Amino acid sequence: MRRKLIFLGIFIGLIFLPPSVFAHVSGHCSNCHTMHYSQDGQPLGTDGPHQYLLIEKKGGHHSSACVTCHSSQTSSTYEDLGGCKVPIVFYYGSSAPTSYLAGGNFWWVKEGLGNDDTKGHNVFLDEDDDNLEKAPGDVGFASCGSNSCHKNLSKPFSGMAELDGKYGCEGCHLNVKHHANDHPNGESGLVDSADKGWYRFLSGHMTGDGHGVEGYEHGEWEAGLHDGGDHQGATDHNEYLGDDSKTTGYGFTLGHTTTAFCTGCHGVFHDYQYDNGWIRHPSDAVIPNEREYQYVGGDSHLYDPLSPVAKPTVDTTPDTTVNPGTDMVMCLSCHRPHGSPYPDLLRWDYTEQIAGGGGNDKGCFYCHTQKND
Amino acid sequence: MKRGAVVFVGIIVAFLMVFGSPAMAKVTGPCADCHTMHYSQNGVSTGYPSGGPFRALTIGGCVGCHSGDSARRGNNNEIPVVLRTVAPSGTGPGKSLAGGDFYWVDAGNPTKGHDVINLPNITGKDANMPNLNPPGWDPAATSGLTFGQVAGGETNWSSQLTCAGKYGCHGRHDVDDDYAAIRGAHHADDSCLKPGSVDESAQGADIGTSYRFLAGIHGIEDDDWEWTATDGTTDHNEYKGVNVNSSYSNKTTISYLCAECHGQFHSDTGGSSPWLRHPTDIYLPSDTSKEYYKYNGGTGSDNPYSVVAPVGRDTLPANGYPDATITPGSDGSVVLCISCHRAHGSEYDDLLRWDYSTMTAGQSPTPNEGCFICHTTK
Repeated sequence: MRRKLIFLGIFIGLIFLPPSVFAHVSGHCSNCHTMHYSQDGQPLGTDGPHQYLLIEKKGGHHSSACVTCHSSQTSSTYEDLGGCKVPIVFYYGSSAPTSYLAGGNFWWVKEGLGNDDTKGHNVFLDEDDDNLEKAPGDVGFASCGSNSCHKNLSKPFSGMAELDGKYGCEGCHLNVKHHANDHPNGESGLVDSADKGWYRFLSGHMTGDGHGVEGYEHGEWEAGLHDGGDHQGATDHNEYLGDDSKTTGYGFTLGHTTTAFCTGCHGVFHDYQYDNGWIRHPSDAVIPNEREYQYVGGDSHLYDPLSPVAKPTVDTTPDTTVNPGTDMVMCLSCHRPHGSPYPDLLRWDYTEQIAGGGGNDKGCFYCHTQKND
Repeated sequence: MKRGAVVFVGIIVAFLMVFGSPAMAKVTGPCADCHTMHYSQNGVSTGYPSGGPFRALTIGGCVGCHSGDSARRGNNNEIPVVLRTVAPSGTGPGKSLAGGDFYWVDAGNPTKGHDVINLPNITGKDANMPNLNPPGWDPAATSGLTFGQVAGGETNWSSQLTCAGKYGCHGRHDVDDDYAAIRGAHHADDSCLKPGSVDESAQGADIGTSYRFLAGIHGIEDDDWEWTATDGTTDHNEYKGVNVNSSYSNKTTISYLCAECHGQFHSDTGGSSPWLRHPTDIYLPSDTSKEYYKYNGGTGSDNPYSVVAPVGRDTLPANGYPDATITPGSDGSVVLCISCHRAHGSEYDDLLRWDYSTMTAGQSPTPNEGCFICHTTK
């Protein structure tokens, strides 16, 4: 009898556990998965069945299993899929989206839409980059295997069992873990381990095995913060980790930072950024608390999601301010990893950054606060 | 109503004309004209000058930015070109900027420009010179200078001339390299040097407030580096000069800048007529028994300023403009080194503003040229 009471207690306790323990994607399995890709004797889509038994989301673009769920013709931020919020990274309406998530959107790079290879990573199958033969700043990994992700993202890779067949989205998000033990879908939270799937499923391989990106994930991927409006001082946003301990090098030897991840493909841009002074724009480097940089974010040092900075430590509460002398400039301070309206996936139009041209402290002038005066 | 609108527009236009220009201080133009973030475009760096990436993320360092096939570059013509990649038709307004051009010295004519080691085709010292020392080198000329002693006061220079720095003309002399020497200057507020907002008391405080980044030197900077300068107007640089500058006592004149390297030519002149060397930092004589009062074809009063043989000014009036006219014997008539020379280079030997070998006493068919702009009756 006593044993029965214990079991009953455990059962009741499990029922009343706070939802956060049951983190990660939540909702009906059928929202995303189909067991046999068949219903009423008919195929459940047009180009499946798909790996991981994924469905073809109604209204999704049939480029790949990933894209099907994460694309939309009606939303450029996120959709509700049976009670589960799904981030949209590829809007495929006829005109460019005016609002997008923190990582940007692939609309501008997609053939037939924006059709500009300078404005996004070329993740769509066989849509090779017209300008690039390999990742800019590649340190030599482009020759790895056949169609290395360091060479292009538009062709399936072969040459290494663990990565064979991967391309596109999975070229960066190597180990997608929608069911990892992170925070509840739609809510924000700290992601700082493999158990939690790493920040936005960004992790390494080979020398990067066991390593990934740490950071604070905004529950709605910063939807509403990238619509052309002024959102300085936003109270909830992604929080990025930085590490300024190494001026040179690349990959996860730099730490578990977004910059470390970017430099897995674009290593030269960090490895050869300093030679008795900056010779390339610094990344994972502290914003000086002197000269014009001490005024970053204005008098109140407000954090601006348009020009995000990296923090030396990330916890469960994102900062509303930026701290010169402590916080860091990083790759993502200037670039959107998926795509943007601007060449080089920039967060703003570099050709419109006018020294001495006046205007507000946006874009480059968020940090270079006096160059526009 | 229409009249009111016209008046209003007129006021706006006048406001912009009066106050618009001074507000255009420091470098103004697209960041992309001068800087590249990663020295990479489309995955390659072939579109950029070789030898990079360069310090301060510049597209090609000093020379890379300041060279080109026309005298000014950039979307707003905001970049002065001092090394043309195609032969200029000469020097002077409409042909070059005020300082001339390094084209000729870089093309292999060492007598026609400063042999700055940064230039792409300069690989060693001037073949005509015995060593790296500038002609007339006086190590003591910059002793105790706020911005450092040129060449560290070495008796014999151990390094060749650079654009800026310890062995350079521009920037501080207490740091070795060009970049550190002018750090921050391009984006500094230099309105105190600009026509209409001149504030001489603020000039020379740092490199950004020094005339053309020449440490401690005063002046008024023409906004197009004299590309459109004309005689008898305010459209030109105004150079700082003083009437007598013994023992380098005034360190703000453009002639002192030259004397930092060529000191003997400034200090060892004899002091008065008969001169041992051509004088500098001294008023043109106004004595009507002499020839100088007729400077540039004038009568001795309000003579037209010459952009071919410019003279300097002792006082730079607050919020003022360069002089359109000058009167020999008074402020504004100071003979300068650059009355005869162009600082960077020219098509003539000795970086002169004219061909000295064709200056023929008593035989010039066009008397008001070259030396004869001052030596009017020679």
